Amino acid sequence: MKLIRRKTNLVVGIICALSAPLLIGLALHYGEWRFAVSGAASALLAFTNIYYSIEPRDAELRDDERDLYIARKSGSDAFKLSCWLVNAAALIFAIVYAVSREAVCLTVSLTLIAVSAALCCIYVAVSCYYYKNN
Amino acid sequence: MKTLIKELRAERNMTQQQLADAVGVSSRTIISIEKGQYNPSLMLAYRLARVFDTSVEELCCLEENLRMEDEG
Repeated sequence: MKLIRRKTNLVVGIICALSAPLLIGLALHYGEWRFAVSGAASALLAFTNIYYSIEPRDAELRDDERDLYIARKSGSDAFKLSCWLVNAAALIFAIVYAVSREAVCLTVSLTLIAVSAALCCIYVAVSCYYYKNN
Repeated sequence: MKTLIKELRAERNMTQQQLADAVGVSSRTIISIEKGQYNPSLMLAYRLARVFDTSVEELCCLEENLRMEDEG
């Protein structure tokens, strides 16, 4: 029986597991909380990715066509909803900046716009790939 | 999409789980197909037709579904 079912998740988990102690070490050395938060998030990502890489549940999904269909539809709808939320948040922060002139609001808004643009590019790239290869 | 799966299954005194095991899907898939919430793939429809010893056209009421689709 194969122990490792998803190699990508294992690689991501290992990278996160290696970076977590590094970030926590930086947090202790510089005394900055942002390194500690990043270290904790990295450790959590490492655990979830490594667990997901060995979880056997996916084998059942592969056999049942309705579960596969639901998984794909859920993923697609979750992505669309995430895009809408990012766009809405970017707009809200832009309006708050326009009213309050707080620089942090502009920073957040611009970051969310960059994320939205990246999501759009990813969507177009994936659509082109499937259009070409299916 | 309307199908005759529920009727044919009842005629043969089969449970949803037994039918699911016979065609290699989960019972949730059979339930969804019987309720008309999910349309089976071509291969699944063919497997179901073989279990019931009928044709895919009869099992999936293709003429009736096509007529409903054209009218709708």
